[in-house]
Amino acid sequence: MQIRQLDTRVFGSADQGTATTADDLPFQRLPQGCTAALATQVTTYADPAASIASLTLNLAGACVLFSNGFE
Amino acid sequence: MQISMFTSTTLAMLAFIAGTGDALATHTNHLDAFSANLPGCQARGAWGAAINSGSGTLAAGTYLYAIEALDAGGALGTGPCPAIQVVVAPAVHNAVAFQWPATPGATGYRIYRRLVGVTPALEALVIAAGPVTLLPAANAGCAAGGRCLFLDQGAAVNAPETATPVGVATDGGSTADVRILQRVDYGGADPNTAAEIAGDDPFPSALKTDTIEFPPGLAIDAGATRNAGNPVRCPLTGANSLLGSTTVFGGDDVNEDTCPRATLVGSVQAWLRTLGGIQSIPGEIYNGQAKGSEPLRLFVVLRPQCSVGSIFAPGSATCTAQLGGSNRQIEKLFLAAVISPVARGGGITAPDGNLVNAEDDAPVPEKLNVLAPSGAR
Repeated sequence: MQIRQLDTRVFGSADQGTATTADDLPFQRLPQGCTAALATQVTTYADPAASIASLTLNLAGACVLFSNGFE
Repeated sequence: MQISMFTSTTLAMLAFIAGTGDALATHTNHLDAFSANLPGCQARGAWGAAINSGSGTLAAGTYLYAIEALDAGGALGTGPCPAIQVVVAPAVHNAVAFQWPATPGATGYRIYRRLVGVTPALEALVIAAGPVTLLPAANAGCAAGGRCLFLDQGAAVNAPETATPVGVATDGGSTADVRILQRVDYGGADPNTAAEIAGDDPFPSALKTDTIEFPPGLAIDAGATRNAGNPVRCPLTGANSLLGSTTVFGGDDVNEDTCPRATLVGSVQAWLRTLGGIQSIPGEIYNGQAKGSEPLRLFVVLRPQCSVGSIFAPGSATCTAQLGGSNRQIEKLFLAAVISPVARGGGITAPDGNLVNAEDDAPVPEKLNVLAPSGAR
């Protein structure tokens, strides 16, 4: 079995089993700051050397203070 | 034949026989997307895959689909979730199949489609003359909960009826849905083979470990999943659990893959290669029962073709041909992402997620199990 791709979506809020989302509770919050970096390390049964990949999420909405001269 | 108990006979020997050697097995890990969207979209967790339905007429192309959940008062949530992309290959596919967890309170769904490069907006599919675009939950098989099913065999669209999925989340510290798209190339001359084709990747060669280093400051509240106000997590075994019984398996185990709906916190769409070929499969993520002092454990269930609940059901012609018997089925893949704080240096601590076999915390299983009636081979 070869897992070739994982497209993972983690919900930001936990629904409480009701039709409304007004009572949802936050499950996941983004980091404070302008960017958030995520990395993954993968090994296979044939190749024990970890292969690393990373990406950065731009959080422009968090950078207001910096653009106002606080940087 | 009545099936009283399944025993597991793995594909290990078959896989070994089909081995191609490890000479070019240097793998390459690709992180194709890391993105965030505003929370509260519905319907969540949709999986879509191009198939050959026999009578489908959907033209080849790259499509985007979004599913909106509704009740008598209108759309639920903050809007449809981000569109999912499905590639319909010429002379191979003619329809797209969907499966998603029923949205609490939804009495119907509206499915939207856009042909990339041709139609500018997501347009509602016509379910019946009128045009009627609202698919009753009962028609999707999920009026009482469970998982909804829909097949687009080339439905007409009602072009004026469009939808816009929820937007991108850009505020640090805000609640957000997060998408992580990982892909592995297993070797060969091309280190960047697409997930849905075999390319020159050696087979078998299987994923063993997968560690996700989350950004410092990402905050997850394991106590957010609740039932009647009380925090709830999915147990590993027993009633309403991930694995159910430890002595019976697959279709014989009524408690397998029955995590409480209240613990659902995500979804997975995976591309899997087996001896039968490459398949797109759905999966879900639950807030699982943690072990020891670990702060968080997410359970991941992946449902391959020919496992219980798959649109390619055990006993169907496809599965009977693939497994060599109508009384055989593939066991679901039960994984866990163990989330633990790790020091990253410079006084910074951030969560790491390690993907393991949910049953025993061993590495990701190398093989899928084929379940057959006890004593059968």
